[in-house]
Amino acid sequence: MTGAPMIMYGMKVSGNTARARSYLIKASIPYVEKAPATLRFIQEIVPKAGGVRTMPTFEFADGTVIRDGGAIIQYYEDQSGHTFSPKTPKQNLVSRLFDTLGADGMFRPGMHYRWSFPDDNLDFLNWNTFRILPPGFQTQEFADAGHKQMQDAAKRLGVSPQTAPLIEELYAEQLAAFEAHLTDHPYILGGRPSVADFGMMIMWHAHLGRDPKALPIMQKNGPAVLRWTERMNVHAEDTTEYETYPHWGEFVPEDAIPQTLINLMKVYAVDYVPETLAAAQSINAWLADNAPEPGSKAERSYGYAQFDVRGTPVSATAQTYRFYLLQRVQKIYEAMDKTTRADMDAILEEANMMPILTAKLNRELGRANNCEAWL
Amino acid sequence: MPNQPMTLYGVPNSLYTGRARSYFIKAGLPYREVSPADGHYQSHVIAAAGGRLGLPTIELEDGAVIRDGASIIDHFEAQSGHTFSPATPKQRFFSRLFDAIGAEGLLRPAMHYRWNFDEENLAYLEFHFAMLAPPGEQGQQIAKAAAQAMRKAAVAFGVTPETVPMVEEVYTEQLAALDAHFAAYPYLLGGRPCIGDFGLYAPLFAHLGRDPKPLMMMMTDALRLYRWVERMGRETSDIVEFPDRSETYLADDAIPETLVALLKALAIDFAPETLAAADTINAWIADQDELAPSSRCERSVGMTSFEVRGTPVSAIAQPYRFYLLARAQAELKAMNNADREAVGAILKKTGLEEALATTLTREVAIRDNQEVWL
Repeated sequence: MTGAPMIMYGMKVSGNTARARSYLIKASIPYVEKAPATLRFIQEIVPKAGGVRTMPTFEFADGTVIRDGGAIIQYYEDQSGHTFSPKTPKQNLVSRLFDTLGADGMFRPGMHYRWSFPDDNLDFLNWNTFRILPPGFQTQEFADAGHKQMQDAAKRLGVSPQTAPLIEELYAEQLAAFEAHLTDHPYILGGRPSVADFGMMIMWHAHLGRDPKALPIMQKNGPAVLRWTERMNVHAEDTTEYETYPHWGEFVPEDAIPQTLINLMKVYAVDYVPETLAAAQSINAWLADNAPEPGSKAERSYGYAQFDVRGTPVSATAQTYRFYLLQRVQKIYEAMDKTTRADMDAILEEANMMPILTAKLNRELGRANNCEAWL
Repeated sequence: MPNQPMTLYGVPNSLYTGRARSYFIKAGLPYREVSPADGHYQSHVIAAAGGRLGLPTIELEDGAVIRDGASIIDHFEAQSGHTFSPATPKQRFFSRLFDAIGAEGLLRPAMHYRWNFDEENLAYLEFHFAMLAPPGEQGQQIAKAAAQAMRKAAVAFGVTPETVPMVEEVYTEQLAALDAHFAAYPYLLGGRPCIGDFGLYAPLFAHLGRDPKPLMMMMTDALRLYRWVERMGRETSDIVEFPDRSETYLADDAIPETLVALLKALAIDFAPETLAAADTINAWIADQDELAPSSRCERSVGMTSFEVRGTPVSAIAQPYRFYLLARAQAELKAMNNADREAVGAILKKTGLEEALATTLTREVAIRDNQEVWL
């Protein structure tokens, strides 16, 4: 790429911006970060981004616009020959699964610890909110309205006083399991980052590793996780504490999946699996009723998924993006040979993740005009 | 192990390592960070680093070893044609002055907010100090001893129950002045970091911007400073909240008012400590029967006493402070009269005039990775 560096319109507190930023840093791709608040952004960039104003959105020197943190990573991965994707099948599947879990499986703790604690967080968030308000709208009134919108979004994702004890209990288990994994390995699949790590940066860094309420929890119970978020934000390996680590600069050998990672998957499965099954049901019901035109835009969610986690009823919007990401996991699985598949089955069984392989929508999802679309 | 051109011996919570690391990140210099627990560091690097165990120390591809954050930055600045030094005289001076004040002038709050808040910090510190030594029981005894030594060092820098109220009061004012400056400018001298930013980053990252207790203070009371800390750790300029600012130093050799106000807040204890330390060190020099040129200059030559807002403070007198200050003073000497008068007026306003006129009777230099008396 020549000419001016690409522009990333993003936000410090945005999870998907954190995912993309970390990728750009690790892949040594020059970029300039700008706030998405200018009139130019709204008038010229948003129309090219499928008419949707989300963070991050990217503008290239030649005028091309790419929306979404996952899409920009895919763009550069395709260009580079997938340098951040393991070449071996099981690790490839697990890296895509963690990309999915990170991007879509952590909304509740991420939103709960951000939006249920206004006394701790609101001043910190307020400053950021002002940065993204368009010119002429930078008043406390609009900032407050923005916060209200996000608090409502948290509710729709299943954050409520009734679910809060469950969310906190599960997050404590996720943190402990991730901490145990990172105590042994600098990155998710060994001695170098993969797409899994970038997906996981979304909530672990931008929300849970940076907001005033959540950060002390991580400092206290997950210092190795906090170090990983630091490591993911510098180009260097930044692995001082893994002096004797045997797999420098490479993934764990022989397509192995470390036991600590299986344990982490198992914790995620507790709510990810029932939510995925319920969401598939809800979206499939909508698809049956509506039969959208091929190529038409897929909405962010269709109705609600109702499910139970450890006896607590949860109601959360049924999100299409989860299935866009899961499709890739499922395709990797379907392309495996018999022996590999048997190994993979044993791992996913142990992690209670088997149901995600068959949780499918009745229509495939693709991308058109920078948005998810029904194929 | 992938091929890396340079090894940085350091740890995330080391104050001075942060200064070099930030410079490498901003300058785009590839490095690999390795703990001083490493066998090669112990067997080869320390000897080549003047026999001093000090973080950061770097080892270049050709085996050359450089110890000390300022020397490391000097090395690459000389190589690159001084890309992080402003070209204009006043800004050059203030860049050097902030390097000295940053590296030496915030040690009391840095140590206080690290070591006097065990409930918030201790588990976090233990996790990080464990990186300093090899795993296993023996190694971890070494790590514990290192933490104990640093806790004691806080007292040597003048942090005692009697000085704590003053340390907190002064830091609160400094925090407000830092926040006000970084609300107006992304870096000390505009849209691009200078040597002074790296010096200031040392205490404000690894201790005050990273340990749980002071980090929360920064997030709560000085969000724009917090953003500067974040920015200093990024490859990009990361000036997203300053959409119209170019990535250059301020035009016309300008020194902004917010920087003058910040100097004034930093001078509250930097000025009296500098004067007292100079007296103590100069008296010590006069007492030496023999202080041969090139003889080793220790980190401290005894205690010095001074007052900050009526609170008596006793701290080690450090010749190294004057090594860094002399570099600022050299810039002052090199500029023309009009510029010097303009700088003099700022120094007077900030209470730093006398401190900048103070020198040791013997010069300190760095030779073969050691501080020596010239």
